[in-house]
Amino acid sequence: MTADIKSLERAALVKALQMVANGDRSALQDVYRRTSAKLFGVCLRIFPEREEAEDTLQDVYLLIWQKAGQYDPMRASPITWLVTIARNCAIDRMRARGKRVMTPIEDVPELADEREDALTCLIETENEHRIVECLGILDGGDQKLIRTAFFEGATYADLATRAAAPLGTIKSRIRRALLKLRECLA
Amino acid sequence: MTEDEDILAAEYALGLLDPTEMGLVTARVAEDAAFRARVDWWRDQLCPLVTEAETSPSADVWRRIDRALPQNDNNRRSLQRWRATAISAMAVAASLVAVVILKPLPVTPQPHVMLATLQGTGGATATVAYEATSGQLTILPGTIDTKGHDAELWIIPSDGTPRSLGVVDVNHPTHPSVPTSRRSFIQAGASFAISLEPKGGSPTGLPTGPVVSSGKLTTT
Repeated sequence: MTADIKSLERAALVKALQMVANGDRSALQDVYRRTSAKLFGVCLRIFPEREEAEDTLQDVYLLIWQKAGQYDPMRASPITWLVTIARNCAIDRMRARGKRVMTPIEDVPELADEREDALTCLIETENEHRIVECLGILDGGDQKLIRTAFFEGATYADLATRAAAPLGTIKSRIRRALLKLRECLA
Repeated sequence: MTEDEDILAAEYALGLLDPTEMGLVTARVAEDAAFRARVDWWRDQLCPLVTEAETSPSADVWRRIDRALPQNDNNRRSLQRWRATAISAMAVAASLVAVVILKPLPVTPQPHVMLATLQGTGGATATVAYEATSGQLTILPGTIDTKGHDAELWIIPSDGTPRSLGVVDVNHPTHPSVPTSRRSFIQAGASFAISLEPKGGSPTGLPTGPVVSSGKLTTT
């Protein structure tokens, strides 16, 4: 049942992206309706000020409008492709402004487990369970490092500064964590 | 795919690497399908995390996007036609430049000349020299099989973003002049790369085809 919803959603997004590639504005609106909350979440983690995050989101969908023809359904799921565009767009924008989020790692909030819509999310993406479960086997500090890299576009160097730890230590911690994740996700 | 390579794919997917490493791995992603598949796998695995951050934007954002789009589909199509015409015109111009500006090559590089030896897996090689005062490149192509595509030259500075230096002639030495806006990117430590692109060059402003040759610039 969840797999059916997921594959229908995926097929609908693939179709909408193909229509966007042909210049169909209403298809872009459809993509926006289905994905804007997710992509806005990505922008908001990099630009906590709502106004700036919304400007970024606008750029993201204009990029999607231009690049939809490059989406290859054989390579990645449509939502992965859209999230990659949003992350890259937001990270490029942050770097172009010479901005870096520098909140110390210990101050990065923990994941709120008790979210009302957690169940909806699980239905939407059955896979989510997997990555969250696998992150769960990591040590709390390592989890935060990986989440911060994913959400804030932080590089090894940024993470070392934010964790006030030597670069080499951070690299080997994250590499070990990635190996564990790889084993768990495989 | 070794464990180390797979971790490199994860590091790339997460964006952990510094700009120089990112640029090099971007070239690898473009030419190595097995590696690219691992990057895609990691992205797919990590993607569901975004549901943790899901937030609805204000209704106004869609209206702004809608206003910023071209007026109607016909406009978009004519824009594409215009682009296609402009790109083929540029290709013609580039080939004219290649034909007209053939000059004897300097025998001894001057001290202010930077050099890069470009190497690729298929033995594709080229030597590129850059003379900073005049902003001129000298491209000595080696053996590059373009498989019927155009070869486009890129400069990848320390920020890791490739900037196009145009389509290059792979059969003859050429002396293209670098546009003023691109000159500051050509510095020791930056890399040149050649990618295979559709006729007329990459339509996106970034490499879209495989990188067949790359090499770092050094001062002579």
